[in-house]
Amino acid sequence: MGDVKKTLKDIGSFMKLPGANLFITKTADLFNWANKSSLWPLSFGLACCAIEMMATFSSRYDLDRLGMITRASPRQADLMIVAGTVTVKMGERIKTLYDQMTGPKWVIAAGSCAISGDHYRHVYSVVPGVDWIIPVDVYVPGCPPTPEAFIDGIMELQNIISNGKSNPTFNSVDSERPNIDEIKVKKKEILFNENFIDGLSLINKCKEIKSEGYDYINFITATDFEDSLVLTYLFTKNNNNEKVEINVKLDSSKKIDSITQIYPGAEWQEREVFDMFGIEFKNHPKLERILMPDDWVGYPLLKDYKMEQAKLPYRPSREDYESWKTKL
Amino acid sequence: MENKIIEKDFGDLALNMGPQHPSTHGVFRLKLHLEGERINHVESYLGYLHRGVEKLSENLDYDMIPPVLERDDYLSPTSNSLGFINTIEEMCNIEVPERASYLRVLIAEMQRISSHLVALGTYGLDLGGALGGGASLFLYCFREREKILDVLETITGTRFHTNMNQVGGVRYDVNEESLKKTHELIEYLKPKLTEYFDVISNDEIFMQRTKNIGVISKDLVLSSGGSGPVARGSGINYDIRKNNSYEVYDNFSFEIPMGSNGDSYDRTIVRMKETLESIKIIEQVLSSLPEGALCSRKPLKSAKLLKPPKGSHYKAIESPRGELGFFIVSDGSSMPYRMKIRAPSFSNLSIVEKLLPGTYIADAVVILGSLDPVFGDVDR
Repeated sequence: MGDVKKTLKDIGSFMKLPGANLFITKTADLFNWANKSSLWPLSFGLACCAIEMMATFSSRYDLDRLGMITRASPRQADLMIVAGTVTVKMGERIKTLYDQMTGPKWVIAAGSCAISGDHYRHVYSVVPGVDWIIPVDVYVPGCPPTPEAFIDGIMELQNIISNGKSNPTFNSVDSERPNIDEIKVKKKEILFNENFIDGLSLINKCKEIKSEGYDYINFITATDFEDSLVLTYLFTKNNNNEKVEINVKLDSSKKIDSITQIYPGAEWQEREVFDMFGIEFKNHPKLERILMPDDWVGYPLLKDYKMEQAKLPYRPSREDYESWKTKL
Repeated sequence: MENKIIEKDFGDLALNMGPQHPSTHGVFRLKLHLEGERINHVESYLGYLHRGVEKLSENLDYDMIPPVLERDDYLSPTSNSLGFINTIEEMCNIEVPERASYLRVLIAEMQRISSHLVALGTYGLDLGGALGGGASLFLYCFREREKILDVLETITGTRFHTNMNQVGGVRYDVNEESLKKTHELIEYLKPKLTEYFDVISNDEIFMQRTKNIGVISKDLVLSSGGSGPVARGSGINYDIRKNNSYEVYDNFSFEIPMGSNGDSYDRTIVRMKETLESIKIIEQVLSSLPEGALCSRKPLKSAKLLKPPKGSHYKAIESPRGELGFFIVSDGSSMPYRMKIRAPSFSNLSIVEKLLPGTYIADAVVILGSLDPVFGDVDR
């Protein structure tokens, strides 16, 4: 109790009465004191910063001594540490999670990706800073922030709470992301020297090489060249590490047979190529977008798709934000 | 009163898991269709961390790409840049000084240990109460990991995004102090890792939770492109460090631990044995570190000067998760025309849809954890 008494002295005064002790303070101060001493963060991580966050929670740095226990449910949490790059697909989920948390609640944006998008800032799928979606109380810089920086950020948040002056930042610029001029990418003629096979003979070729022992599929990808898309398949003969590369030139219909019947593991690879290039694989069991949201427009890895051509998630307007602040 | 038992077929129960679920090891969403406690079929959703690295790389000079790539597989950042740089060096025929190559191996193997420690620690959390409250294994593993990160910080100045590798060599040298620290680290880690290995491999509860759970057949691994501990757990002798050696791995003697059943237990044991092999490699690096230059290239006046010849090239290395390859199409300019990252986690994770049906829901977490996906690597 000694420590509790010490910290309580900051917010009020003790009185000794005959037979009892009396502590006098303001309720607001008392609640702030309780809030700051038992911050319960939502345990979810996005990217590299989450690993450092885990390190901060574990053996050496031990956030438990600041009264922090991670909660897996947003209903029980009052602090959200956004650790990692916020993508458009995840942005909607973060907004939902934030709305599910009960107030009073705080947000720490940890790492340069959560603050501004960092080097991914101009990429189509990345939200340039989590403060586009939810209000942020404390920014912790670093790529990733060291555990010391994390602790510093949390103590800063404790100061903010105990002062009762929460004023979260919210990126309220109403205009969408400006389209800056990009380096004009000129499509090139085909750069491979390898022989191409015809798209119609792909299935037979695959059967042939599988019977030769190339049973390991490394990857499937495509490249966007001047006159056509080129699909590249790479297979390995596992016992002696030989590789065989198959290149297929596609015509303008952008359709080709799926090889999932022969190599079941090609399923995700083909979905990725479909997602990024719009190449349609006939007879594929589930040809849907895999990395991008289902309602995404355009195929990002085509050369005429601008890197910044983004569809950003729902952003609360300044009015929404103001009303949210007064409600709190 | 008459006791009536009401039986009604409610059909499938769809249970959503993720993308913010702690046991998915990142941002991964599984839609589990359950019948009682058994999983009928699974739909998986990924891409919650898709940062468009491949598109971004098309707009960056070759020398600017490695630091970005290090954020991809954030448990073993060095392997990412190592794979990319190896590809570029093969394309441009750049020689690497021997000392630089040794140092690359040193950092890569240290990160392999730290990556496997994270995998093991979080696996302890996944298994829940099975291992002394679950959290104790996590805390032990992170304690040892901090020691490794300390040494990495001494050598490179950063905790895990070391940025050690550059085209033609390495950026940072070791000195007496850092070598001494590395020696101390190895002496410290050896008994600890052996202890964890002994404790876990014979732990009755651990064996019951993981043995014969999530058995991956050889065929499934091969046809899905699984690699790393996932392939070796199923008894496939596929380690690029041995099969298709890069850097100076030829100079060292080490073994490739293999499993036989292909279950979650084997995969975990393979990872743990690999950490012990990595320690062997680090010991050999320390005992035979040659003198010499750190980088074969002179400092460039501009990043634009590195221009690989026209054509395409594929080169893979062994990251802690498996075959990490880079397929680069160069048009002769200073930026790649197209760069495909062959991510090991992506192929390994694709097995999960075929593996989960028929298992219990409590085992879903065990199976997912045993594949050890890193979502920066899956989604890129």
